[in-house]
Amino acid sequence: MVVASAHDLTVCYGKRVALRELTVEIPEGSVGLLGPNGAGKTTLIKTWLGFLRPAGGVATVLGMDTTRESLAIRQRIGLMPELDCHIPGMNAVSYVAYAGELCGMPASQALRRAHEVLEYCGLGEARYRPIETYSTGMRQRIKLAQALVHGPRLLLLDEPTNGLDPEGRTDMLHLIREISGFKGVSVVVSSHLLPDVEETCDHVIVMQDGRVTKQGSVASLRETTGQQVDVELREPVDAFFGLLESQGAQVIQRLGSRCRILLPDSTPDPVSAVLRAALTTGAQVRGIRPATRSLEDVFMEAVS
Amino acid sequence: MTTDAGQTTGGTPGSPASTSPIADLSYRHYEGPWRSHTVRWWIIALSGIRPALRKWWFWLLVLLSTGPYVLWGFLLFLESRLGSEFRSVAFQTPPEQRFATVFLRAYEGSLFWIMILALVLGAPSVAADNRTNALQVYLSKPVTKLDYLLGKWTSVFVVVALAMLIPSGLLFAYCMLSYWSEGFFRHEPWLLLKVLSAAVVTASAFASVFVGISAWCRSTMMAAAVSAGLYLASQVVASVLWVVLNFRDLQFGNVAADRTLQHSSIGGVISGVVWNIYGVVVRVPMRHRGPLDMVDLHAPQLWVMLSAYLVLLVLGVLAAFWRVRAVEVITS
Amino acid sequence: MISLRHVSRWYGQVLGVNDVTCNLGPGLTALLGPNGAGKSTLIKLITGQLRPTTGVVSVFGERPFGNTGIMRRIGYCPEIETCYEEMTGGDFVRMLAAMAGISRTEVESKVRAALEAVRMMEHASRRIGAYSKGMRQRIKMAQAIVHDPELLVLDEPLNGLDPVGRREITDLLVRWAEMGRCVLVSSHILHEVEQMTRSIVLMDRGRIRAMGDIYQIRALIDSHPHRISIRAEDVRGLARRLLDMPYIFSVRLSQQDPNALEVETPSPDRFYDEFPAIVLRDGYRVSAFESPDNNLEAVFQYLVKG
Repeated sequence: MVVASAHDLTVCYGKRVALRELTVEIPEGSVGLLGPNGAGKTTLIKTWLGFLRPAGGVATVLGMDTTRESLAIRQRIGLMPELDCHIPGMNAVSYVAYAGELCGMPASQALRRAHEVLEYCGLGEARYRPIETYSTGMRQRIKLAQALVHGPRLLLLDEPTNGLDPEGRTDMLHLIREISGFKGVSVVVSSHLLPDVEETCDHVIVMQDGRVTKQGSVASLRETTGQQVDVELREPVDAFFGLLESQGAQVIQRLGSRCRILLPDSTPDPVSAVLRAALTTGAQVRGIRPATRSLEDVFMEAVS
Repeated sequence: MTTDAGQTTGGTPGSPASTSPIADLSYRHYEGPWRSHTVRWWIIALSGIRPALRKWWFWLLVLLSTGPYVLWGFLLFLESRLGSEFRSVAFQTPPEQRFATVFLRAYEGSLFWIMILALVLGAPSVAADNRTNALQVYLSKPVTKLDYLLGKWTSVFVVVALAMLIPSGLLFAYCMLSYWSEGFFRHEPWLLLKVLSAAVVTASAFASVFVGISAWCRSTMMAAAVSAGLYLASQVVASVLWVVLNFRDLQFGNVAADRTLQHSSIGGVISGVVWNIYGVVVRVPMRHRGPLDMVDLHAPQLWVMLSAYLVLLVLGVLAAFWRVRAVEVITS
Repeated sequence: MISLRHVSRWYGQVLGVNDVTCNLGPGLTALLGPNGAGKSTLIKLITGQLRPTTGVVSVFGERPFGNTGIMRRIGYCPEIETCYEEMTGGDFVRMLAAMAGISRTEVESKVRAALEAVRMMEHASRRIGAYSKGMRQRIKMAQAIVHDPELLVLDEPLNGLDPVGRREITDLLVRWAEMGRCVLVSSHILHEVEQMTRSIVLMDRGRIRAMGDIYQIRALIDSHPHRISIRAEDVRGLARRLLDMPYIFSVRLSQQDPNALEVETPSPDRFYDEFPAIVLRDGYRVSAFESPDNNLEAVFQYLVKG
């Protein structure tokens, strides 16, 4: 099923064309929406929310047209905005419950659901404190909670790990992964942090200049050609590389003690070949695995 | 938490498969009822009204604005005790107009406090939301701009109107109980309606102007400063203009000159309309020519006041409408 | 270049940094730590915005607090977003260049060079208020490098940039450091740090938890149980074989993946040295092995979470 789509969508700001005849379909599951600044990601999300009127073409969300049914759409989707935002003078519980009421939940149900969702987002006793006293990590959590409170079928996350420290970001990514794994909730993550997308998304769409330049499942995009392995050494040993190269292998990339090696297609077992070379030259291999391209490489290739 | 284990084990309607003795507390959908969209603006209004009624300053301002009503109620009480001689000193009005006059004068006395209340409520209404980007929360939900602004406007309107109706309602009850036999209703059959419309006119004008200004500011302090500044500045300009243009009359002590210009400020327009609603002639003593020389002050021209009031109302609402934009929900 | 000796800073009763002693030389150093660890305080102490409560901060041999002479040799890119909204980007950099004491004849060329370095030349005449987050970040960068400082201090400089911008700025910082200048960068994004430098200062709760080369730090953590996950065809056979090794004290088969197992060892060096021989001699078909403890993320988790 397609959760959101655009067909020949053109959107303009005044005279400037932000999206030109864009056609894209967001599949179910978790999708990363990538692109440099000004690629049109934000415009696309705004159009899906019904804030921008297409100058041409059609945009749909969950099968509904964005121009005619924007309220019904917003009832079924949750948006976690990029900027820090909350309703002034409220604590987390009343804030999230209020967000639920704004979606049309009866007050008592909204309060019950607010507690449930806050619990789920890992906000403990702090939920009774005014939001003004919160740390970035907690603010990020309540932003997610207010987007989840009405049980949306599609969750739009704009830079969900913005400003989080490593620990907070691990938690947030874990949470997103868990939600997107839940049946019936699709997630669209728009982020500049490609490792985040790598970790949370099954599918990636790369946009540039209002067009889709690349899309596909993360696994397929990351596939490499030929027999490539990523090897991590304790110390870079030149003899090791020398031996491999004499056997017809190529060292494609070296970053400190990490390297990517392309072995000749005739090699029956690339791992054994590398291990044998290491054993002979005395290099200590600390890790080895079939190479995958990083999403960053995929991205750079798509936008350049 | 709110999901209780017993219920889940029994198999909640939403999860027929859960027969395990261990409850599944992972994420689940909301399966409960929904309310229709028509009352959405009222939810936003309530979120402003409820906390306001719990604030100490709300009750303090109500108390302060009750002051003039108590004073005029007391004068009314003295008059009925001391008889008509006192009336000629204190009221100077025909007996059939005295109740309306009392309400008008009390209203004028309390207007300042009502303005302060409207300012305290109106200034942060949209400005505080601007500061915390709360609009992103509102507009990403099934809430329209109209719902949002109507809700904000109503929350200011309701609280201000309530604050005005508490003291005037008390005074009205006192009058009704004490002067029933003296033909209170015969003289003033429409007084209750007038009191109500005075509150509606005042609260609606304040709500429009202050919410409109608030929408253009990114902080509460800014909005409060601009609102108060505009209110006072218009007052000063109107008064100065009136004095300058009527200088000759005033020099001879003729304070009865047409007051329409003097009322051409935010507060002036509001009180001018209310004066017309009560429809009384205020009689003031002129010290200039001896203690008992009386001058009749007539209400400012109705059509000028009314159109100015409508302009304020529309201008404020339009300003807010112009500024609050859904497109800003996600900044690039 | 920078040396701190027993430096503490408290805000009232609130902890800022606590008894920090360190030296930073030329090159790129990353400043890491969770929120509230004291990174910003440390940066403010170094850039002379704060006076240490106790201890001595010295930059280029002088105390930075209130020392305008030092300021001209330091470039500082703050984290805060508020700039002069009404000014154009170019004017903003020009103003700060003038404040940094660049002579009038040089201002234009230096401003131009700085704007080109961050690729903001074409947007220089636009109002800062109309900038995107990434452009603000770049203009802050330009402002920090315009006077060719010997010490460049940046608080979260990559925040809000898109991947292309990240790479550009990272390259710029690395180049800058290679020229022998001192660059101190605070960041939350560990994989970015791994691409930039090996030299880190890790702070936690106001104190320096670890400092130096990532590999060295990681090696020291090797004295604690080290996990290695292995993917192979005959995992159960390999598991039995590995259990014979004296230095392995746990082998766990994975619940999710029938081809994976995880071993724990207190002496990873012996394991890594002998494992290839075992695999090759006994003919196990191993498709991958690696340690989840082998990156900065794990180092961070281990040292900060404990």
